Amino acid sequence: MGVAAWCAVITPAQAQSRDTVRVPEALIIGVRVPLADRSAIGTSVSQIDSAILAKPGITLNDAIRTASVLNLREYGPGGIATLTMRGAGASHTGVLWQGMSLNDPMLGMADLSVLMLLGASDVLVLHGPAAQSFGPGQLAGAIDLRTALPTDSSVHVQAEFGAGSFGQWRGGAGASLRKGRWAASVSGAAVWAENDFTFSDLARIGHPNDTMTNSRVHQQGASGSVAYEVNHLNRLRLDGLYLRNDRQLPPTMVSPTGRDALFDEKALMVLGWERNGRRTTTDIRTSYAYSDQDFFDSKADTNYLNRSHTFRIRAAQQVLLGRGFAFVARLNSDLAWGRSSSGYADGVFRHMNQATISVAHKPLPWLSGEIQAGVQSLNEKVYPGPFLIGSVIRLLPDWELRGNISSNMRFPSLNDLYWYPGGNVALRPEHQLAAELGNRFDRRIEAWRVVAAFQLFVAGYSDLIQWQPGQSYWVPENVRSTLNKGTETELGFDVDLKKMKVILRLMHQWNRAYMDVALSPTDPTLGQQLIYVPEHQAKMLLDLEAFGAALGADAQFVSGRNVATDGSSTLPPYWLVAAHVGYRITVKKAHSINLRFSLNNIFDQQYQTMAWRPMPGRNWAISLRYGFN
Amino acid sequence: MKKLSYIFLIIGTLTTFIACETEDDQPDLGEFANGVFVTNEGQFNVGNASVTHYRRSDGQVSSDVYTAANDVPLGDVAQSMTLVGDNGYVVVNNSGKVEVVKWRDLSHIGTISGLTSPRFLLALGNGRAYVTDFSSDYLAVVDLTTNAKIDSIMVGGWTEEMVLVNGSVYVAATGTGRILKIDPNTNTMLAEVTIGNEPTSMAVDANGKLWVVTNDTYPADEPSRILRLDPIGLTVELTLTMPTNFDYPNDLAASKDGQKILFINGQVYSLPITASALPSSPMIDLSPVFPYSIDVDPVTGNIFVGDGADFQSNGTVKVYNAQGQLQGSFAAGVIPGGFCFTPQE
Repeated sequence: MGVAAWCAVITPAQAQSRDTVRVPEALIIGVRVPLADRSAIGTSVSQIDSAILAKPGITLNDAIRTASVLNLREYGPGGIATLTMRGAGASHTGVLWQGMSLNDPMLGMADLSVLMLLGASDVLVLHGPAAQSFGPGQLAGAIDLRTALPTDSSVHVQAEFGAGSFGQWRGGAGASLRKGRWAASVSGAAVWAENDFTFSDLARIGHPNDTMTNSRVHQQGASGSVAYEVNHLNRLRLDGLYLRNDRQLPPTMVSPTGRDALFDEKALMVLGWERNGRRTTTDIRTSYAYSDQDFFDSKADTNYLNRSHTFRIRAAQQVLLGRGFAFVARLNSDLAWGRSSSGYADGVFRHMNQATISVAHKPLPWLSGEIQAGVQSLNEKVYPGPFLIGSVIRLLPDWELRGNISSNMRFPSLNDLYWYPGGNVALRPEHQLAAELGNRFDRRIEAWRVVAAFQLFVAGYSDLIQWQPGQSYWVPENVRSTLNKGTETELGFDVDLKKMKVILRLMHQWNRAYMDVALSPTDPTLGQQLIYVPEHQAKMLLDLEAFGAALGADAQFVSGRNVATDGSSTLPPYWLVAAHVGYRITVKKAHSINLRFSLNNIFDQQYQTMAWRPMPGRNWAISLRYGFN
Repeated sequence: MKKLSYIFLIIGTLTTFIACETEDDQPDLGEFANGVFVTNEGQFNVGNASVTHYRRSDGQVSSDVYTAANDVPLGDVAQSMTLVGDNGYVVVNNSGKVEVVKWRDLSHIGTISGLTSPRFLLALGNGRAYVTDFSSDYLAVVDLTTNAKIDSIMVGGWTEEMVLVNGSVYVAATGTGRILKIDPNTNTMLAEVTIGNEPTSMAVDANGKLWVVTNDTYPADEPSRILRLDPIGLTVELTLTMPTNFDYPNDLAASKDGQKILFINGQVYSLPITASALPSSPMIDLSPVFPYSIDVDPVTGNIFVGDGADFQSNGTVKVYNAQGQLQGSFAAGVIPGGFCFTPQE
């Protein structure tokens, strides 16, 4: 576990108290997903196990790193961290909270290091076109952090405290309750970390040990959710999230004098109404997101201010037509305003809309399919799409085949459109044409469960936006085309007995992503793997729990990555291995104390996920959690 | 992040070169004699700066010679290189340092640190050198025997290229729109002239006149200009104004005979020193590619033109004769931005 991932997690004791499970055809997970957030039939949605998220001391970055096929690019402890999927960029990968995007409209991407789990009980991984329902942009997929509210009438309280190597301290508390028609959850957390670890400085002659400087992080966050069942048909829900991250930006090995700093403040408020009728379902949600990012450039001794406000509406209406037919209409609307003291000081607007209709049909008990089409707009320009056709064939009760063909687009960010100088309002949307085919075997026999999933995907991207050197300044242009293809394999084995639990996960991703159209007759980048996209990632996670004692280990392998587009500079592959032990005491069934000690990067690997940004060697963390049910 | 992009844009658009100087005749020339070092900036914040060597006699190219010699990366954004005696000084901008090497084999012998965002080093001939800086209000004075910064001269902001003419140092004070004249023996300001906009690059012609290009990071209120100055009185003798605000001339270099001033304005242009108007057509046209850097080999008079490609992959250097005819090309590192010529055997 990297120190950067010390975004403390407090998950209220609610893992055992889920909302009513209402599993749509396309989903294979046990999480209630509102209509607006349901993915199309034939697409792939997986879940980072709630049991993994509920472990003391676990962070969102830990969970992604060890228990998903996603790729995390960390700029060092406390530094920026971005999420990528299937060989595409961070701007093609959505980060959602309760189904609403946290991607910054100015940059088009989300900084995962700012985000804390904060009461999220489930992390859904929406693979490729499964994220299409959330509006334009998430071409590679998305993660969605969801908070399930309790369904029983008890109160759950939890508090956690932790410490670790390199001056790490964290604490937090959470509570959830249900009373009558009301259900609520609240959580808060704070993290302090010096991140002053020692690393081998590969940029200095003799590779002497250096101590990381200027990498202090102070982070706070809070979230709350409240839901009210108006009647058996109607439900209202209000969610709020606040994140604050005040950090120094650690210097790189090749630029060791950097003393920059970054201050982030983000808030998101979501108000939703759901109506679940016998033949119709309605889901309408609106949100407001505020983002403030202030970058202090130590060399220029200047603070650059970046602020944005985003209003979103997401609405979906489903009508069951009979004879196995269903009709769904969706609207995603996004109005963003941003102001950057260095790029557009007077403020700029972007308005995106997406309207789709889809028809789903289940002609046979083992066969279902969906066709989706729509239109999208950016400011005054209207574009056809997205399109999708998908199908699921259930070969056996526990084994299904699924596949889809889709087309979608991503609109330029505010910076792409309006940055001064260079911003290009004539940019076209980036296009994606994708197909995937997969199968999933998921068999439960009493306390035993075996999961095996395999997916093959291919996606062609065109009109990719790249900032290009011009005569006098850089300009974003629609220049690149890439072809991304690969496989995702997951094997899982769970045992959940009264006194013993076992979780085993084995994951592999092969991803070949490369430029497939030359920019010039001698373009050296043609056919080269895209920068920072590992061709192979393999992960293993094992958790054993018996009679209150816990023991586990995880390992991950990341293959070498290109740093230059022509492959002339690369980062070496690396292995990371971690282990943990823990013990849980339960008193009178209501009180529990959970202690966990983890040792990370056991073999003290010197590695980088981004060039010349050292990551911590061997480190430890200890967490103590008290819970009351 | 946005500021990082912005800085990248600025750095990406500032073309760099420096006429390297050799103070002493060296009878025993080594591996890298009779050629040119190309400083490849590398991607900003990625740390893949490098030095490529090209040998004049047979065209042999050696890539990333600094790392090969020392088993460490050069750093982040290699801005320029200067030869002084047996030593080479590689200015690594975003690493805030100057790496000192034996230029014959590129072996490392020291590091000049304590600099903020260094751009160019100019040897003063007295065992000292000046180093300009992108992010400092001071010009650094360094001792070349101890490789330490020993003093600084207040200049009020960003400085770029320097030249030594008739015992005085002329500095392009980019941030304040001035040309400064400094006495290198006393480190005192002798004179200054405000020419406006942002002077970045300078060259000296056969008559000892000082040529300066001014521009901005973006076409703004006034068009860029090329000026000829009398270095003695620091008076402006000629002003050539670009036709539009979108013209962005940079990278001045004098031809071997000093009768022409070469510069980049989208393509490579040649300006006779007696001209009273800007040339209407380029001397070297690489369209649709925009050249990133130029310099003139003081031995052969050949013109070296750097092509940064997509600025994320290795670039190319094209070699033209003095008449602008292509002689050949060779592969360089990422963003070839500067040239430093080693003596002829």
